[in-house]
Amino acid sequence: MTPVLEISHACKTYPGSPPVIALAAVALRIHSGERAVVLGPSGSGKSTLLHVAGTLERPSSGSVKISGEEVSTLSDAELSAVRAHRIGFVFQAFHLIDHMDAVQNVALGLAYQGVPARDRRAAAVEALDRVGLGHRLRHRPPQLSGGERQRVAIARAVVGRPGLVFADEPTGNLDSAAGAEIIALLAELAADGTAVVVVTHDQAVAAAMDRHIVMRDGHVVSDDGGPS
Amino acid sequence: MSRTARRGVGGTVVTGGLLGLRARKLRAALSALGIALGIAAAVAVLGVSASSKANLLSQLGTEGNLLTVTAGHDFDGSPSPLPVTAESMIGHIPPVESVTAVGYVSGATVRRTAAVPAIEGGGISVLAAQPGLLSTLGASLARGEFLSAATAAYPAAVLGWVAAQTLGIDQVPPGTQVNLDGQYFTVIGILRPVPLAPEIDEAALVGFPVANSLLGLGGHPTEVYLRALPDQVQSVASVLPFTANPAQPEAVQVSRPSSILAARAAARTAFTGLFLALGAVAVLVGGVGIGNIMVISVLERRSEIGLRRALGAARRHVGLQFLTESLLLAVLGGAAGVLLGSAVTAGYALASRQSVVVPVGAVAAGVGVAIGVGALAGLYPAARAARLSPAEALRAP
Repeated sequence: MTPVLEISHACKTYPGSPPVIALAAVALRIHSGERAVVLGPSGSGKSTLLHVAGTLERPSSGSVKISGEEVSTLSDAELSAVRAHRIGFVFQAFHLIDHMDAVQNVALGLAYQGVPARDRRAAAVEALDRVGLGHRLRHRPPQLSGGERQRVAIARAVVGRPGLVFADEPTGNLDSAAGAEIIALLAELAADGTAVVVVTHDQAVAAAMDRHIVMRDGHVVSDDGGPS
Repeated sequence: MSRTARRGVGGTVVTGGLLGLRARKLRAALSALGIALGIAAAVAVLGVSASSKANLLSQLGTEGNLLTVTAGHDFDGSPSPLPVTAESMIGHIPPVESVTAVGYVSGATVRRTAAVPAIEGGGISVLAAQPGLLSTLGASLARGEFLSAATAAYPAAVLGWVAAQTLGIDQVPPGTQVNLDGQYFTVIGILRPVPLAPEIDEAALVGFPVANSLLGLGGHPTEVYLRALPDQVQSVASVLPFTANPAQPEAVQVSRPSSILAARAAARTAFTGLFLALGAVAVLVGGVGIGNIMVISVLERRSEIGLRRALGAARRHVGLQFLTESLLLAVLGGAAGVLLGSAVTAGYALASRQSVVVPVGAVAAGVGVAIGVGALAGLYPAARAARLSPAEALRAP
């Protein structure tokens, strides 16, 4: 089966003196339905890995394949289309737009797929229902609790039914109870076949995931799932 | 991710732009203000001058086919006489539609009563006129009635607008009299201003027969007014000197008052250029203001840009979103400016009793300029937003 994400020999160097090596020849394969967590101290290259894997940044060298398609040679427009259709993101800071209500925020996840506005709304309402916010449709982010905001963000990430969801410290701004809900929600996604990759410091998140990838100084130092 | 599947994104970009503006209403309004004021100034200036011009044209009669014939001036500045036959000869030129003559009564004084010293005549002249004067000049009466074949032989006078004001006469009850050269004439009417023949405004008009018998005119006209068929004005003008005074055609002067007035009106619109330039500066400053606000907006909304890139927005979508916002700001400003400028035009025209003319060209140009300025102002911020790397934008607080 083709992995949803396949990274081989990915390097990422940031200019400076001396240059910062954020990723050093990383190789990684993620399959559908996998629940992986990327662990490591600050500066170990976790976030860079997430950005490169999520096509938000291009690797300095090496290859990144999403569902078998090599993306490092794609144009900006093509790369954006890959993100629109195949990848969902959840961020520590939620990144919701304050002047839009929950439905509008979630519908934004479909905005760049060319889905007609009415269908976007319907899909957004359904996605909010799935994360348990069917009663909060018209609320704006400032009217929601932290946990609710992150659930809106998860609904936005999955509304386009991507094969791959990246979450960057999704529980970082939440108390432990809200964090636990979010972990459960992310774990559930994988049951539908979506691969979930979480970058975190949070041991509770790590415990809920099946595969643990540990990074240090731009290298993958341990991976209990291993490149299969 | 075929191209067709991404076609619906344009609408999203526009609604996104509108939503973005709605979230920052006060800022949007203030940044659009410069453009609004500039366009309002331009539309108002053009509207006011168009309204005045329309008013002038209605005064001139749209044809501008009035010609005047004079025989020049004597050494003392008073008009020299034309032959007695001048008027009837001119009347025989085929394209001439109507003709009327006036005769300047040399040295005649006009006073309210004989008790006023003759030296204080107030610069009012006495002109012998014919009943057809009103129709040829397109003049109208403010009060009373004009000279007729019946009153022309009697000491009856019609005052020009300025002459009446100078004499302090604003009503013509029976028995109102003025003293013309020592003789009392009954005032039977007052004319409205005649822009095409200002000399009429400053005169007391009497009939030719009474001017001959009581004031010693001698029957000679000094000026002939005529209307020619509009398309033959030039050819009529060229034969007028010989027709009016075959003996001394070189002394005859032919003029076309409508062209003089039009030139004067054009000179008055010289200020239009200045105000338009000021309006253009305001629009420019408004454009810079919008550009400035958009640059700040790009900086403030880096995380939103990052988010949109993560959700699949391509560079062009992000650029287009900011360009749309800038365009919307400018167009809203421009539309407000057009409304404001039209309101000012309407206010001015109604206050000065002119017809309201809002030139469509000015409105279209106003909106067009607003779109252009909005596009220019948004170009750089949009390019900056589009260039932002998604990962970097997401790191913004």
